[in-house]
Amino acid sequence: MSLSSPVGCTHCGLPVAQARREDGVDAWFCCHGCRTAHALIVEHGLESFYRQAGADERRAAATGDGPRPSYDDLDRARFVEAHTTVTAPGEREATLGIEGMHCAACIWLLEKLPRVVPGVVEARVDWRRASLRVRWQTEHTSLAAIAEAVSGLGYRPHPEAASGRERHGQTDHRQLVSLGIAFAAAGNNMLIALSLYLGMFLMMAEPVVQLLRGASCVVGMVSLLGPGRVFFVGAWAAWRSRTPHMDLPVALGLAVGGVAGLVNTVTGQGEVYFDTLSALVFLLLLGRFIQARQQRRAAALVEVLYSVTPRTARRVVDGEVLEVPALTLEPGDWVQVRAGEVVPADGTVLRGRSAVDHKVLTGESRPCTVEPGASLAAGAINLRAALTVRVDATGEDTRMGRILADVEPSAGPAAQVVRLADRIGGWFVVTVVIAAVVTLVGWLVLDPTVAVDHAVALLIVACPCALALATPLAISVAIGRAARAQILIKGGDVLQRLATPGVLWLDKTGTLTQGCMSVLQWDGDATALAWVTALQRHSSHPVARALVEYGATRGHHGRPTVTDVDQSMRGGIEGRVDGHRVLVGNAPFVEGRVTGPLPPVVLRAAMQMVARVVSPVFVAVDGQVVAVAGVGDPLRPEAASVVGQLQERGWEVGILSGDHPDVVAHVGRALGLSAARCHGGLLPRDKVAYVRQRDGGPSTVMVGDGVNDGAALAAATVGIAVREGAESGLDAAPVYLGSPGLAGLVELVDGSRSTLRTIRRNFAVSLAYNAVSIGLAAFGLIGPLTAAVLMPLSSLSVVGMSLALRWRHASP
Amino acid sequence: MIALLGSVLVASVVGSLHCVGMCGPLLGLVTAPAGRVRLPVAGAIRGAVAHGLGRGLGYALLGMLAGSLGMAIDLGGARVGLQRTAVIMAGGSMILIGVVGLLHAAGVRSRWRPRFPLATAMVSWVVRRSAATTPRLRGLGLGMATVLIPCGWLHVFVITAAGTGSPGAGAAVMVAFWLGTMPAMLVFGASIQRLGGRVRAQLPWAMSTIAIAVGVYTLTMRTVVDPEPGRASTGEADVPLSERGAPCH
Repeated sequence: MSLSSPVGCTHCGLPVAQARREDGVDAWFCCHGCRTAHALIVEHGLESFYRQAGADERRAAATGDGPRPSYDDLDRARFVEAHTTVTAPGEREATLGIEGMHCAACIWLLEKLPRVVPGVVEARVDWRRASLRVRWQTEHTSLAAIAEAVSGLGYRPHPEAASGRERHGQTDHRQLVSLGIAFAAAGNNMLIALSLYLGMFLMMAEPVVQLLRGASCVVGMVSLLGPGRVFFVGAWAAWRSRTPHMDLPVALGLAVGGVAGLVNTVTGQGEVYFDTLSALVFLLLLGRFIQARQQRRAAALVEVLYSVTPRTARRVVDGEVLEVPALTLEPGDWVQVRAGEVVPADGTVLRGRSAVDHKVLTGESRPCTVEPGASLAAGAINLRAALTVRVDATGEDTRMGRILADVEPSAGPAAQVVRLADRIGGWFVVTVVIAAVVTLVGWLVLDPTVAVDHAVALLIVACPCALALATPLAISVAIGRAARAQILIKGGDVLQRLATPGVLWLDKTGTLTQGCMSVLQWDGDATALAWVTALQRHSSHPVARALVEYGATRGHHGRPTVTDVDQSMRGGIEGRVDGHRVLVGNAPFVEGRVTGPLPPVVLRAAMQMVARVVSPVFVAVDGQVVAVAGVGDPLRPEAASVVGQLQERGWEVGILSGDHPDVVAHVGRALGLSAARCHGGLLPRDKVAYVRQRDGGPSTVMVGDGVNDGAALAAATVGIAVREGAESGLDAAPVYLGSPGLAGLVELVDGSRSTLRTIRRNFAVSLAYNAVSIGLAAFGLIGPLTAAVLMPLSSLSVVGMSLALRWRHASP
Repeated sequence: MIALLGSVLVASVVGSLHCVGMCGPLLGLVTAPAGRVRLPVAGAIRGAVAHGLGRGLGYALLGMLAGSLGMAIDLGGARVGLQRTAVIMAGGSMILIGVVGLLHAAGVRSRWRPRFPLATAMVSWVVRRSAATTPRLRGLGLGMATVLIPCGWLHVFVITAAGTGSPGAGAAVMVAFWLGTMPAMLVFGASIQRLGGRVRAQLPWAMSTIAIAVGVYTLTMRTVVDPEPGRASTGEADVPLSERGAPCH
């Protein structure tokens, strides 16, 4: 290394003055103390400290104390080709990672980018990934110009390479350093204030008083211009983007106090305020830090991921199995998945054979066999034997993680209530600033000595942050809670729409019914069932499968000899079982192949079945009808109760089905639905037409399976996919019910109402807090320090109330 | 005296990042003695607290010693007819240290490279002896032993303590110095590297400037209020010397 280049002390890392460097040695020290301490550390075998310290240093360097970066590379043709997409002629879209976002107000600010950069069409922040999706007109601006503007607003944009967690980690690190400096400044300024206070009693000499006031001013300025700089940067960015932002009143408060303190320090008269200001900066940063962490925890995708994947995994290290948090797994790790456990990450089977259930992902309920070399997806359940799996992808990079990335508030359109909060927030800041000016002027008239204190207190105590947090946080928490109940929701607007009753259309097959044929009734000769079971094993028809399953449940596992099977005819099957000629089929099929009349018991049963919209399947042995089986798709056991509960909550429930209208009408009657709301014989486009009528209120909800009802799900105000896996379900609709049955529907509706209630309560609390606290500050009843303590408390109370949101499990 | 302690405190706070860089890593000798497995958190905290207290105690003793030395110098000076010898020597030394520091920071090279093998050997002996004891004792011992490490920044304040010409005032100066280092030690622990490069780059300049400022302050503020011969130079002009227990001649 050249001696002219800057080097750090081998021990403490501080710069080494050139004069202290020695030629021909590998270690440099900034002072003799460090040389001695280094010798001690080495002598006692603690060199590993320096490796750790080096990592810290590299991290510090990576988090940017270097020169301001250039963003020109973002406009290079190769980058543009690889990392941006054309959304419309002359428009492109890209995602930038953003460092430095610390609260809800930053989201407001960054989403106002179209106001700052002409040519930017839309900017959407993804808080969880700490990224900004931006769409711009290529004729008017470029990605580099946008990144430059984002940087000018006080954030660090970069191509989205690091994960959201890393970026948040870097922001946390920076905030912690600021917090540390603010703490040291506040602590020392408090000591100086104490000295000054005691000096009043001890008749401290005037030069000493002035010296201490000067010292307080210096430490206060360090705090204001160091860690407190973040408020001024935020306020300036707010000013530039013409977005009233919570940093504006805080920065005004700090600026008013700082200028007044500086003037008083120079003139040697009046309060210097710097002890209060330093404490304010520290408390405000502390509150903001806690709030950001809480908020992120609530909105974290990992919470949603944990609903389908385990929190811990068994990592195999040198043959030893260690239980570790699933988040710490990395590609290449080996994990053990025991029978009955959920696979924690995407991977490849290395050892063991087992059966695995991938239902949550694909909807396929039949287990598939896996052996070494087979791929496994996170969220799959290992059913039989322990497997050793090599991890290929973890967390957000897994198949399930990528699907669930859509399950977040920012993925869908913003709920109306969120937009309302945005609008109120803007006016709120303006109102607060006006109130502060009135307070300052009023108190200057009444008692000038306290005017600055009261105005600063008012600016500090007002907390638009609580308003800004009230909605997105409650929505994030609700989505997380729903995911735990296996209800996956894309976008917060869904919750708002489901909170108000409207019309709810249900598909019949597979939604209200179980979606597969089964034998509901058997009348006639029971001994024939064994032969029927044996014969139907030769067919793959759904009715045949239902009969085989029915026979198996009644103990007919034997294998009578079956010969001469003929299933080429429409409507039934024929064969010879243990020497008897057996026919199974519908009435027209059996009619022409039997000789005698129908036994009365069979005839009566068949008529009952037709009345109940169950298909009769006749069984004839040696030319005589001996039994009849009623085959149909049964209603889900909880269907009637769920429909009843939805109706109690004010929803107009109806059925849209492709089945025969008589069948649909019958099902509707069984569920207690009005005939006018039960529509059968519909083609997919007919379903879409019904869904679009919107005659029952603001919301029209369609519940169906993503494959057959895709169009109707998309046309509805809210589409709810059931049955198939999360992969295709969430593709077709913004809501996917992963739990079997319909009970999740009531849960979803109740949860949505409860979410909206929480949002309103959050709003009410934050508005009431601001009204009361601003009033108290204006009348001089609270000081700046109390204000600084109260401000984060209001945000935290909103966080607390949102976290308390319950997602009740409805009884089926 | 309050003014002196206040200025020492402020100066110590500003320069305390150096203390973190130098002494912070030595905490490892308390929490992971002789490179063995790290202590559990509770033990490490006990050790770190004891280390902090040990440093404070060590500084206070050092301050007392320096103050006594200052008193002796004052007495000696008075015998040969020199007034305020200790404070003048202290102020002058601090200015000298500051100027040398600034010259070093500006790139002026020096050939003088002193070594302090005895200091290293003594601290090392303490570390070895205390390795087998409890974290509390080890922390206390090592904290006290840090006063033996030849640190220029520490010496600025030891000289200030000597300049008071009183064992009590010297101890008070060093306690104020210790207090000033605590916020940074508490916040950063052993990781000065967490601090941004731009802040670190300014530290040598800031520390040298502070040393000069403290030296000038020692020479001026503390001598202006010296209305008559026979009064010590602590700024407490209206208190008779006999009532302060300070040296007289």
